[in-house]
Amino acid sequence: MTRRADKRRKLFRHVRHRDGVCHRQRGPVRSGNIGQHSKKTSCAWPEYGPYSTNEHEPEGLACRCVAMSSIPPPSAPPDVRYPDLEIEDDPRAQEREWRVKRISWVFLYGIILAAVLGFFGDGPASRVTARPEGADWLVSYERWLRRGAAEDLTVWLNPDRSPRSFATVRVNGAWASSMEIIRFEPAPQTQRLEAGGALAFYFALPAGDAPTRLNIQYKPRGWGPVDGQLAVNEGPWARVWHFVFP
Amino acid sequence: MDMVIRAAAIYMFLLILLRLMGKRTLSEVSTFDFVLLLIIGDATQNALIEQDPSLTTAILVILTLVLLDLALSFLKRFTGLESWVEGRPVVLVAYGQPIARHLRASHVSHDDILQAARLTQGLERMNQIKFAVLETNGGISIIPYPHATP
Repeated sequence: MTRRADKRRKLFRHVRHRDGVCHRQRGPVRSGNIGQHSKKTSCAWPEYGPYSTNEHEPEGLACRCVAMSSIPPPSAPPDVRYPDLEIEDDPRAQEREWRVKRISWVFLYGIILAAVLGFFGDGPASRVTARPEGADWLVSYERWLRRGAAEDLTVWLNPDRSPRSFATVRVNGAWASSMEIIRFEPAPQTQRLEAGGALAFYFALPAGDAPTRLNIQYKPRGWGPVDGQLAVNEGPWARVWHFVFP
Repeated sequence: MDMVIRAAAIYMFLLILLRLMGKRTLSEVSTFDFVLLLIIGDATQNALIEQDPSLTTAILVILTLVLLDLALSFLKRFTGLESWVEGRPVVLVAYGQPIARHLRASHVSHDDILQAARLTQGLERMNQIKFAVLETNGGISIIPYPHATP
């Protein structure tokens, strides 16, 4: 409702006075406020009935506009629960709080379950294995990382399809700038900075027909998403996407 | 900059977590709870200062935590935040009758109330209690019937 429309409808609000009765008075006109009534219709909201007083509301508060169905019959006893006890409890707010707590406990247990499954790293939901189309190698890494926590990225080379005595592993600039490499296993013969901040590592491969495993241990420098790429030799690039939790 | 944000994040997390755990948790600190608090403190320490053992970092983190607490106490006074942060008292026993729903929701047992009645008022039975109230600090206050006071 616009301010002009509010003004035209002459909205009033009912405020509880010292005598315990709701008195009508001009109030700040804000659309949808509880306790506001127009002069003609007695209540600004058509689906609600007349205003009612609440015994527990202190003087000066806006009287509540309640649904007709929730107004107790005139013969109903007043809601005075503890007449001997002066206490500022609020049963409705308390019920709401307990409900929020129950929901939040489920949510907190959900976080623990997610952590066990690996949604915060180190678990089945985090481990990713990528193999680009046509490549004779695959890369295995953790998708969900934590800032400052060390993780492994492993490249597997297939000797049947890659009969080389060396291999070059390249990571693009986005990955190299976001991660701090701690150590290699085996150690590379040499490494080189390439265009765009990419890093190339040259590994000498051992003789034999067993799959060769190259391991890079690293830790994230910052937090947030890291959209990296990795390639072996001149082969296609594999996308290496992480999210780093703070 | 980073350490201030980390301290603020830890402060907010602990504030919300302890509020969600309920009033009784804060009041009833057993030996195991005490050990748990120490472990929480140790786990928090690493996140707060990371690998920076400098005096400056320690002072900044402590300042952030204390001033956030001060700001929260001001906010509680001048806004409606107090009932949200502290909660409201809950009547557990009215006129000698335990209110089962309130006991269940607050995680308070009959034994807890009788224990509080024995410790604070020297009462023997539930029907000697006029009111038992779970206060916002997690303690149970007992108001006995006048004739039941020893």
